[in-house]
Amino acid sequence: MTQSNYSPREKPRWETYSKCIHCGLCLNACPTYRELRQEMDSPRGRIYQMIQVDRGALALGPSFVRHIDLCLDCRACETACPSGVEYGRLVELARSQIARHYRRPLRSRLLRRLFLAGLLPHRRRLECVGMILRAWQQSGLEQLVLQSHLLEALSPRLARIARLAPRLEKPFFTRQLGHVVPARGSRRYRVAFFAGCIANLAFARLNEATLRVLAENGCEVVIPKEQGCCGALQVHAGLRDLARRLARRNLEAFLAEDWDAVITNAAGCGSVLKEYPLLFEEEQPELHPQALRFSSRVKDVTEYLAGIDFNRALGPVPARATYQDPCHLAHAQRIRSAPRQLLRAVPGLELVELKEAEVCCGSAGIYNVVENEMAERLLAAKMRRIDETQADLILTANPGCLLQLRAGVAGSKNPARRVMHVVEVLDKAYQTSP
Amino acid sequence: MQVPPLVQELIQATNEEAVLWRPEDLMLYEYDALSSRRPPEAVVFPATTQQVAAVVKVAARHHCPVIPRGAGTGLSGGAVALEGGVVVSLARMNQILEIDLENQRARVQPGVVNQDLSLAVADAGYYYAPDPSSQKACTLGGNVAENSGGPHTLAYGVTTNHVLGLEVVLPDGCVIRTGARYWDRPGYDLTGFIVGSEGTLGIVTEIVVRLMRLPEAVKTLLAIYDSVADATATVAAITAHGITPAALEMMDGLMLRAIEAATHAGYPLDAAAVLLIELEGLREAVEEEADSITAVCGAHRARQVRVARRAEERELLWRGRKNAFGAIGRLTPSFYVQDGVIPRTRLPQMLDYIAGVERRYGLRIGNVFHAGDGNLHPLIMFDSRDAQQVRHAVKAAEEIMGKCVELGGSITGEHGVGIEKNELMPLIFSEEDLAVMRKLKQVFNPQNLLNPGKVLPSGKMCGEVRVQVSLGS
Amino acid sequence: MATATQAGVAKLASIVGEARVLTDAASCQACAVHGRVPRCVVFAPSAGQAAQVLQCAAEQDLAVIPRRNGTKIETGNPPRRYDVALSLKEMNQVWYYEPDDLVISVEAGMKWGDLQHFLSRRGLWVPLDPPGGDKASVGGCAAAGASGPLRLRYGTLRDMVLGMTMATTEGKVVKTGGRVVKNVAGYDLAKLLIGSWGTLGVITEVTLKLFPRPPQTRTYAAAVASLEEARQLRRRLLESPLAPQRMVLLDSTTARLAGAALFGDERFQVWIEAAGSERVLRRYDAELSGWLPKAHSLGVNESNWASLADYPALWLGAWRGAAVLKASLPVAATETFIGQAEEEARASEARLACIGMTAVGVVRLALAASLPPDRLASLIERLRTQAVQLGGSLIVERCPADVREHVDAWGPPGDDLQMMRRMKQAWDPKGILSPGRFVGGI
Repeated sequence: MTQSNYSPREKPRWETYSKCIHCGLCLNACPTYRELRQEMDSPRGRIYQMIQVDRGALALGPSFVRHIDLCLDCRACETACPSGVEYGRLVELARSQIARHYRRPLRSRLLRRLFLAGLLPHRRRLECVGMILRAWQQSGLEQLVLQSHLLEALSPRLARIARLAPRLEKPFFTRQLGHVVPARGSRRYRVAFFAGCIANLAFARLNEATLRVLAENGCEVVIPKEQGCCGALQVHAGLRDLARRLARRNLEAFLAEDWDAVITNAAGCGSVLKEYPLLFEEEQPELHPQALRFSSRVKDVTEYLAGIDFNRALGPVPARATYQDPCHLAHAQRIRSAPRQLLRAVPGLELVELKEAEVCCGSAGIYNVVENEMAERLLAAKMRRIDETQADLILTANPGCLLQLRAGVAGSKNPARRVMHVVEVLDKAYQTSP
Repeated sequence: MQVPPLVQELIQATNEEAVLWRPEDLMLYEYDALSSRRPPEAVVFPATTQQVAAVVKVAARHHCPVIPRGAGTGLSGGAVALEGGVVVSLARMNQILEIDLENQRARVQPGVVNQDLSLAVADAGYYYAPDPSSQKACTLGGNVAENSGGPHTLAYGVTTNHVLGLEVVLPDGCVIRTGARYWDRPGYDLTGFIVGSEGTLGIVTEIVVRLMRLPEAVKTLLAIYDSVADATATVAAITAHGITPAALEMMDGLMLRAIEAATHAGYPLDAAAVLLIELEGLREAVEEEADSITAVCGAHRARQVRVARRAEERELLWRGRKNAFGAIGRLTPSFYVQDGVIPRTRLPQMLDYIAGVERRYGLRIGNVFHAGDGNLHPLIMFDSRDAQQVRHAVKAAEEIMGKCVELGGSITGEHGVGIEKNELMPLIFSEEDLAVMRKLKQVFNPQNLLNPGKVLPSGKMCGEVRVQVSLGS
Repeated sequence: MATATQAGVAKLASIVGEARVLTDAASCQACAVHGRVPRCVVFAPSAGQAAQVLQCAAEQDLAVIPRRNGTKIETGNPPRRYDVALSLKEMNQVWYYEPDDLVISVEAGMKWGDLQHFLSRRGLWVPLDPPGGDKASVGGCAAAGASGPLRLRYGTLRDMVLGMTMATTEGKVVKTGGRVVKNVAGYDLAKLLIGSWGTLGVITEVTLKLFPRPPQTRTYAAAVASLEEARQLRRRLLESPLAPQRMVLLDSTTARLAGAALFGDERFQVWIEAAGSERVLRRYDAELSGWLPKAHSLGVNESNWASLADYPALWLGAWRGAAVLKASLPVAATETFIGQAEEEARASEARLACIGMTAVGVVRLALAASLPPDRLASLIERLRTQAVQLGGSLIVERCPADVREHVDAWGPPGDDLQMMRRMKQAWDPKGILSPGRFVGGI
């Protein structure tokens, strides 16, 4: 056998990939295969390419990188896989190899470095950028530019991406860090809330709603001050060293106390928080036990509520609604029934099942920015299915998906439809509760 | 890199996006769900029947083999390029062209995924009956080529019983339509002949299928046994009682544990075997049959007969069953699935025999199969890195096949012959039978350019070497 | 020529024995097909000998038509030539029977009635009610792809044949399929032979899937006032969860001929036969009484269905010289077709009778008229055109010899005719099997 084209540490390994029996049951579950219908862009094909790189039969070069890049890391293939192949782990390790050994074009290198390393991990910088962006939005300039079709003329791609930008609203959630929200009524649980990075700016209202809903359920909620970005996007991009630094910061921030749970409302964050131990398997293994202890506490907010016999004093939220499964909730965390269970408890809410709800909407972290064309194709397919349901309220459980679906609705024939997080529906229902 | 002339012509016949020819891409077309062989010279994704015809003509001019391919989920190597050539992937011809509910028909392109068709008509109360375990990924074109079965074919028949008409591109590029949208069109039943021909007679570019009404009532029973013999005896007894369940599946203890680890469907971990029985139809009939079957199971010492209460529970049990082959990845680095058929009454005898083979070679063999129609799928587990184990796995498989034939059965019930069993064909067919098949194949495929090396024995390779190659060792 | 044939006959006798070759006028006359009389009748006692007879005939260039009781021999075009009637009368053994496995293998010459009788001892049957009824043979039904109203629930022989043995013109006995219910090993030659009307090879043995006989059956008969009502009823039935065994739409003449009482002045009757336990039948009672308000028991029973199965005898007994036709159509077009056929018949002052298996897309018709042969033929052609326009086809099963000269039995072939011709060429290079009888002159 020839030499592996991977470097020895943190690479896709035989023990993991040999579980793939190339049965192909993952093919139609994979969003990129569904669109492109070629093996290279299927989970089975990507694993095969990873194996060939390991065997030295395929270069860690542009072709390999292209196909690994196009993967959404949505992990729908893991749900489909009967053999229990840990595809997410494989693709993340492959990307780590790419990040270390493959030189990308300057523009893409800069974008990644700037956003993933230069911005997300730094709260102050985020706030600064947030304020500038908010000023831009509130001045009406953004509206003007978007309406002027200036961007379309400049670059249609840029124009599409610009429409994905979240609305930034005052006040930012960052000022809540370090605070404690008391339970309403008697305190039954004491939980920590994971606030995220961009969510502090772009989903401050969602975070607040989450706190209220938890309080309604007898939770005293602590928002540890020293927490920061979860590192999910960095893991997806293969920047594992950086992700580990972020993970350590969160381990320190959250392991200071023994919570009933660490709660997040972002499926993408939750999934990586639960998988922190994977980051410390090969590197810094001394932190592995801590990571295990932390991750065992992490709960998605829907998972937590459904698990504690949640407060059913819900007022009516009349709507015809449908629910899109966030990939990192349904596939990575295998949580499908909890959000539905919560939604079915809301009076007046008619929940219509969305066909192919488990197929990615194309959001996938920064995927809709870096792989905008594929993301748009997936969004278009998703919107067709959503249209079929004739729902006027579209629900999901992850901020990234919210942005993507909002862009989809805004560009649709029926832009009046609302897109909300499951928790926001509950918040509303508690408010209308008699 | 220089674009070879063959590829240039293929691009002319289609377009640039429709042709793969770089080695790093072709590498991905050297396998299907059976094995990994050699890459083709090109892969083409035609969008229309005309393009398929044009591609086939180009290949014929270059005297180059053509290998049709759907999703590549086949288990007999039917989609691999044994001798190189052009792989024609029908994966992008995936439109449902027409749904005609009053006539209970659909007209589809071959790349439509089996389950997607059922999904498309489910709201109206219909479905497409043949349900191979790979139905969420496999294509209808592939199903037609392999004449695929599935658990629910016990009551409703296999693919051939649900296909009425085809549009076919012949190896010379001619396009013909066979059959019709109704049964009984006068003339030879070329449709019935082409279904199951494993891509050796023509490339199917359009399919007219029968849709069926979703049943009013469905009941799924799980009968749990402490002995394999009692479970197999129950199967024969159910048949003899005149009940034809929609599905009647058996799994042994080894497989149960793997499946349960994969899907958490609620299968008992300590059982020696279970029967998964599904009844469908009129509410009254289903209830009566459930009662009789429960009685039959009890008479054969079933420890418990559990009825799935909710749809989710039923779905979970089936997901477990349909994921069985994959779940075995948890038990062993490599395995070899067999697909033999025996008369149902011989099941107890056959399972004893398999247990003997297991002991003789010191290999673990899991059993999960369509008990109701005697279609066995022993899964022989081995480690491909151990040459001795590979040899033993091959021998074990051949002995099991031999026993199937001895008991009056067949060497394949639904996976097809392909490159896996073509050399075993003489076990069940005489030289004269095979000569007729060869002659009829020539009628369609005179140059042997279409999917060469499949179905019929070539006599080139002895069994052991062949299977070892197909096992990728 | 005559001496050559005599030499050929002698050779045939050396295969099967003198006693099994008849050359007398009466025997030959009895095997005539469309007025053509063979030179001899040969009885094959086994598959191997049938194959040898075919090989010998091919060598001698003698045209062969295989037969048993001749219940369907009238269907098809007149043979271009005809020398040997190959009878499978002596081939009526059961070769393999495993009732617990629900499988049987029988020789092709076995009569359908004998087979069912044999199976009934264990409460089993092959759920097929072919034209010709009990007198039809297993091989004949397979060669003709014959089926009746039971196909609504059980499908046709295409769905029930597990394996087959056939004799080829090269003198070989060839096997396809097997004795297990599921089998994809090798090409499915049985599909080719079923419905090939004896033009490819001679079916010598058939392995069939068996079914348990239902515990009870009950027929619901009702008057149907119009085709529109029939259409609604058919739709309702197919969309319902009910799965009756048979359903036919009969004009009142046919209903009367089949022995049913009439309600009065109805245009049509519908018969629906349900099968199952008492509890299941009570469900049918409840559902059908809602749909068919005018339904009451006319006492339609198994014997009425049996006389319906032998519809050519039924119609030809009443209307001498009638043409018997079979239209195969998309289900949704069946009532429309019957309506159009009625109009055409009325315009030509012809009488029309029909058995519409509307839920499976088959309409059988009888046309009787005191028309000149060419006018009756052109009426048939018009009906065929309508069937084709509705997406179907129409074959002539029976008609007077003088009409047959003007109308093809099968109708226009499709663009797969070339492949069918090549198929025929591969099986029967000398063209000795039922020459000229099949589609496109095959």
